[in-house]
Amino acid sequence: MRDNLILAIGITLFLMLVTALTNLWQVFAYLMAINLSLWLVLGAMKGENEMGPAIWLGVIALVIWVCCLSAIFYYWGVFKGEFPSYTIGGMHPGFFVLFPVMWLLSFIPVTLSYALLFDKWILTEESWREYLKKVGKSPEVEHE
Amino acid sequence: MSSPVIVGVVIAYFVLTFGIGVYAVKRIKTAEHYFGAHKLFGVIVTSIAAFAAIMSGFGFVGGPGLVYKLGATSLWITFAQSVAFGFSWWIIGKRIRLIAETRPIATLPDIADARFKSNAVRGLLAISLVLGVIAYLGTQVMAGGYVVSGLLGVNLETAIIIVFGITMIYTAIAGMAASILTDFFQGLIMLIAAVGVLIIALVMTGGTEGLFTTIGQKDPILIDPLGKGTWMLALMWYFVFAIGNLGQPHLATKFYALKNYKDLKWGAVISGGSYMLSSLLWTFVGYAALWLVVSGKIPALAKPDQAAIAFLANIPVWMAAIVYAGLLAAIMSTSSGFIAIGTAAIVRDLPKAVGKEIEHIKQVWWGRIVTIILTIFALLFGYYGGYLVAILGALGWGYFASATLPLLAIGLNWKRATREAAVTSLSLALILNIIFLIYEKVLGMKLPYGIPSYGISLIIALLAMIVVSLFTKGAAEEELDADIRAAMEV
Repeated sequence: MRDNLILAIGITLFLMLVTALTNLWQVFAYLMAINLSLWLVLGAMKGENEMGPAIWLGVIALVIWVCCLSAIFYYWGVFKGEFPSYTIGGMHPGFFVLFPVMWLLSFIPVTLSYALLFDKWILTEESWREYLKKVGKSPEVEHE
Repeated sequence: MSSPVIVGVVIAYFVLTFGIGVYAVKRIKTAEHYFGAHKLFGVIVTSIAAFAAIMSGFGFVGGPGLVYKLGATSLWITFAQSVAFGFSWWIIGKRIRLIAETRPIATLPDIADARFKSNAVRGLLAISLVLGVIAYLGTQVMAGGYVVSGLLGVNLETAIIIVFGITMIYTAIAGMAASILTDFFQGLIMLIAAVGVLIIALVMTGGTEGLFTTIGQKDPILIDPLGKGTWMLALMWYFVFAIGNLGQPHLATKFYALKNYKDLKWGAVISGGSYMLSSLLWTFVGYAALWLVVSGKIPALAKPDQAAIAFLANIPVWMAAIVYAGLLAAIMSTSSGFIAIGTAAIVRDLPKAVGKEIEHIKQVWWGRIVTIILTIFALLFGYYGGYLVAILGALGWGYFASATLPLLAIGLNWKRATREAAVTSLSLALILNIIFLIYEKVLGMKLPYGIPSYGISLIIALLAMIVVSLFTKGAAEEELDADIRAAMEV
């Protein structure tokens, strides 16, 4: 699974390179969202195949990026070059999606999730002790 | 010279920073403490220091300047930071901290060598770091000098000596430990400045309604989500800055400074949250300066980089004093981290790369000597380098991202990543960055559609790491050391 993820990251990177150099910026944006989600899955999975919450995190992040980027592009196109017919707190609707909506929403699955999942998934007490055992270090030494 | 309040706050800042830096020497017991603050600090200190190291003077001056010039385009850089710290913790945080548990890791080349078992990788990475450090410090010399010269009313040379003399002394005395402890203090100042600026900017302009409506009615492009840049520029910036954090040496080094593995837990939230707060400074100082010009309160600025200064001239003097202290904190915190990283690369990594090693007990003293030499060299380069400084100054964020990120992100997460791939990726990153430097800065040409060249370098370096690993075998799979393998399996 890890090999496949790395390959998927490589393929999306290659396509991002091609779309960047041909100015297909909307396609680039969605490829970037996929690529970033894959990095999140890679960081969140364990061993070669243990996915745990990794897939969910990746999917949630991907949905947030795709929806927000689509909304940003839509509102940018609708009000291009003119003062928008309506604003949100004075902000251009597309700008409002960028800040604060995408800024705050993407923080949840990518950054806040790390603290929320740390004890249950990322590095449990048990996996820490197992790691120390594997490398021949006693937990007692750790607490000195 | 500025008002007595600003001068007083700036001098108090210098005294406190110097005191904290020197105090850090109490923590130094080994060479690993000196060069990497190996397992010395808890989560709060390390996480705030990580944010402070990443938030450079650019965020205080260059960022608002870009908002003044382009509108929202540059905000894709700073808004990417809400995920960038999370990515760093997810992708490399745990692995680096686990490796630090079993090995005396003090530098990034230490980690690269442990993973790829290669003097070539260690040497190439060390050379990349030293080059990048000198280039970065060179650009900060004049910036720091001009700021302090204006604030204290001293000449440029004296100002440079004050800022970098203080930074050099505490970094020489206590190395990375001083860098992290002062970064923590400097990060707190930046946070106070960011929150204060946000409140004052919103009160001054009548809230977001008054701010954006006034600017948007004059020029609607300045308030749309793209601004005056291109989509390829904004999107590539978001990508490079979201993922590129973990390739920044001054961030990655913080993971082996953590005292306990449990300190990883809240690190991403504290660092990322702190940076998000300081993003508000970047955003609202830039827009508030635009508002001041559009509403006719000040004349149009001659240069975009004057946006922050123009804004500070229109806020209460006590707040301006804190923001100036925050600006100096941003310059000094990033500089001290780079000085410590460059010193470690010279004293520890380059000798090891050629099969020699400075006696462990003498490494700290050599570190102090090299810190002084490196800082003086960077000062002379920054002061006399002229055009060359401007050219090499481009070797910043993207350069470090393309050189370091593939090694760490792919190397620590994929057992099939090979030594040959690491050497290829690192060499390509170096070569591409130099080629693009000549292409853009010497020949004056640009990539199409506003694409930042370091985005292309980063993608190619990552692709090289993956593709070459598929066809080579060195230091991969069965050849991995047991502790590295175990750290990659947790």
